[in-house]
Amino acid sequence: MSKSTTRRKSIFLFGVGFLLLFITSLVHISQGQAGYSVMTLLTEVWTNGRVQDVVLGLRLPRVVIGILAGGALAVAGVLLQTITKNPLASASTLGMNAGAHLFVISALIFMPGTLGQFPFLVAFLGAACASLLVMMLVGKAMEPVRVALTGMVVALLFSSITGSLQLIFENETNGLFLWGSGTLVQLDWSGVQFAVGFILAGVGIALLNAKSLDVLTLGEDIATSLGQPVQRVKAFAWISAILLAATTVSVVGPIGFVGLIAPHLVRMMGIKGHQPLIIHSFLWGAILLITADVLARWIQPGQEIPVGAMTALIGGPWLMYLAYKTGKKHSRRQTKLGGHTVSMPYPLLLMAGAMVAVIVTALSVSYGAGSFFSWNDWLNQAYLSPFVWEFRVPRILTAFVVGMLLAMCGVLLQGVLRNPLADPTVLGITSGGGAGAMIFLVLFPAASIQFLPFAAMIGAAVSIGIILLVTWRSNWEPILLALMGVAVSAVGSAIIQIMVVKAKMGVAPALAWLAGSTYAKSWSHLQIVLVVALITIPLGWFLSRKLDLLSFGDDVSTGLGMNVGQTRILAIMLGVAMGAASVSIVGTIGFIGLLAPHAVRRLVGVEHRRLIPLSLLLGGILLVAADFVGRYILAPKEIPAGLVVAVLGTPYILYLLRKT
Amino acid sequence: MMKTWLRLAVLVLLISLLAACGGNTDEQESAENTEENTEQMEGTESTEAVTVRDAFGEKTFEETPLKVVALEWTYVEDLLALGVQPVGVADIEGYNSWVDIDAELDQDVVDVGTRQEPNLEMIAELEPDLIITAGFRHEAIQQELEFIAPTLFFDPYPTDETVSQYDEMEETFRTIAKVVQKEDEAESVLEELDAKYEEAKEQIAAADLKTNEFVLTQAFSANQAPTLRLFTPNAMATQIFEKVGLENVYDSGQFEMYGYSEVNVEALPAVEDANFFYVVQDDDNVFENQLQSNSVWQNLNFVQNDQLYPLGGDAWLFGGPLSAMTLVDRIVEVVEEE
Repeated sequence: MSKSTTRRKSIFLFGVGFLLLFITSLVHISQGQAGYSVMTLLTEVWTNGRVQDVVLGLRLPRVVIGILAGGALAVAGVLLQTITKNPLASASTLGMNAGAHLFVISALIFMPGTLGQFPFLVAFLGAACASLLVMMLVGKAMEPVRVALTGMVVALLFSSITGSLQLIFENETNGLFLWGSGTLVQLDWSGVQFAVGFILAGVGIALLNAKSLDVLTLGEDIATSLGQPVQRVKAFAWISAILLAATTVSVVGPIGFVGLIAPHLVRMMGIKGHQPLIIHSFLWGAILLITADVLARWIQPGQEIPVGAMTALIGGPWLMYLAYKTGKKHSRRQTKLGGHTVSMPYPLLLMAGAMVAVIVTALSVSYGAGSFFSWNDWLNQAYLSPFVWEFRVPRILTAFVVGMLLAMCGVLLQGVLRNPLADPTVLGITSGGGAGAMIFLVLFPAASIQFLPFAAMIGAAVSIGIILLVTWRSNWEPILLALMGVAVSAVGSAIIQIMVVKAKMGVAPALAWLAGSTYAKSWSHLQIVLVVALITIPLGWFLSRKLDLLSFGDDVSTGLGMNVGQTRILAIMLGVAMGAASVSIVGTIGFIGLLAPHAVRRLVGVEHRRLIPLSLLLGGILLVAADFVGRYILAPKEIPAGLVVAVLGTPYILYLLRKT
Repeated sequence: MMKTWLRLAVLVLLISLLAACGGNTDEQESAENTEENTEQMEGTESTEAVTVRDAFGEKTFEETPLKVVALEWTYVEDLLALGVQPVGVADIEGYNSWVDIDAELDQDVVDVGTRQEPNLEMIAELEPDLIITAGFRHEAIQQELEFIAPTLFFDPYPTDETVSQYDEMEETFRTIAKVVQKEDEAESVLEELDAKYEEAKEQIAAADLKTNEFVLTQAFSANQAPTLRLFTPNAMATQIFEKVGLENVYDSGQFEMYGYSEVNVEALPAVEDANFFYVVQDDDNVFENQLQSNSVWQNLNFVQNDQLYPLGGDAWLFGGPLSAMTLVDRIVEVVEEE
């Protein structure tokens, strides 16, 4: 194609896009709780009055901020994708959204008088910190899958802390749920006034660097040899990307996927070169976001569905498609699980583990209702007294067994995916289960809460079913599985958010459940998890030799006569059964499946028969300990164990991300 | 080594499984025992026995419960209105900051944890004769609570559209009174409340408002955006307003289980001719903070004409008869200030 036809095509597409944006904006302006008809709007907007007030004071600012935010996110996406050479990079995959959310919530709770008054600034800081953290953890290579996974783990980490804060400070953070999922609601022009300068500056810097970015895509070496100041160009691009993303987050909350989709759409239209890429992406980002908001208000008129949830709902499948394409390209890559062997003899390690388990369990059993057992209580068998026996003992034992199940689930998934960061959360089991439960709560508000576990099971099964189906043709390729998991998780969380808005006040039990809780677990719960454990753990043990072989790579395993696909699907099914069972009993407790096997691997190496027993012990210990801390620290108030795990596990996971 | 470990593990698991089954049978047996006891008591037709209905069915009490644990604030104040101090209450700090009534909790009432996940062992340690809570919160731990003591579950937000929240409140209050054998006290509290409505009605009429129409809202901010709960006709608070002679103008057009719909400022022009009564926390006053610069808000008739009536942050719109009295006092107070 000659240069002039390219230019003509570009101008034509720009015209089409502009028209589309204009139409969607008009539809957007006609929507709202005041319910004015189009005729009323057209006739009365020109004169002083309510209609004019509503349009000028509420609806126009909303549409303008939507255009600015969508555009800014898309441009940030272009920049991030170019500098990281990563088609999956965007503000949300780099953890910016979660960071901003956490900072805003913390400021509101802990410094309502000072920092709480400057939500823009605080969100900006949060987004910047989170993206710096992800960059530091990923290291220089910036390889796509790793960035996506690291971003996801950081986001998970931040959002679980945010979740715990919201739960503990229920009244203080009451209204923040909506913003936490992104909303375009504006009351006046102050949001626009704040954002417009930064966004224009960010886009401006990007456009000025467009030529240099073009050269950069040829590769850093070529760029350097062509006399480009590569480092400076990259630094400017990073700064403008962070500026754009953080500004948006601070004004409209975390909105994902626009930054991912818009640049891809534009590239698919055949737009090349950064200057047109940036301009077109801005336009399409705006169209996407406004359309998402129109859809959200059309689905639930009169109420705010977070627009961020809408974009995730639309964007999740898109990410799947992208992951499918990217995963193919990278399918040869393998991640080392990494492991050391400490010189301590294995039986000794096992004994030590068992001793710690007994001590932690005994300590936990001895504490309740604000006091510990004395030696006399132990001698008098106080643990057999009716209430201790009915409430405390089954709860602690259930926690132990669930901890074991989660750890085993982690062992299996990490073994199969050859990825040390795999756990039930990464494969979408957790958020799928959560979505199932929330849909159930909203669809059947009158139904007994006893059925909640089944709804969670179904949700988890559906999401893993989708993942397995989509990856079927690649013989369940590990990296592809992980990426599909990220996409399905995003859709699951979007559904959770939309359902929370729909369910209104009834969400308090749901929030507690989502946070993961060992609260009030009885002997009947213990029976269920024990049965699951007795069936699945021996099966996992039986698979362990094959898992060992799998770590040598597909070719070697196949050469040794193993059916790789069959082993994978068996192990995954087993892992899913364990994960889903745990989710259905205690809600979404993350991190244990990630943490326990990984920590044990550093002690005893990668051989599964050595790994499994110790991981089971550690998983149990961790959850019992978390349950104990949750009961002890604010007694008589209880903190959900899932939150304790998340908060206590944070330092280790950050360390782990740095190391792997 | 490995094989031995496996065997050991299976053994331990099996033992726990057996223990689990054992534990469960005990529970069933004890439940059966209580049922038998109940039947025996009914057979002898004890004059003391009281049978009441809650959200999950009928419950019979042979003796008057003396030690009561209340896990929802509404039932705390119901008890206080009857002159009964509960032995345990969930989230006392929250209760004190959200509920403002004349009766006060004794110093020695024990805090039993959060309303969402109350500390079961703490409750058990108080050895209550009765636990009162809301069904929507604690349906999942019904068995556990009933293992500790007979438990009454009420449903403050009836999904049956023919039962108004106000009627539910009165009925629950009477039910609790019946169980704790304070029916006379309950009737006198309700009579006092009715008298208060009549008195307030006259006072409000005397205040000669520009209009008798009102809209009631509870507002808070969702980050920079204020969210307003506009109360619908089925809400208890709306009905209290109607009882003192005011006329509600807001209706969302659909059944709102909790008695309000959440809206933003755009919904206000439709009701701008009414009196605007609102509950807002001092540290989150969306009307003075975020909405000051909003032209829609500023131009609303009730803002322009000074028809704004703040009820105070601790006016509890979801409570029992005593909260209703506080609310009536607040209404009269703000109306007469004009």
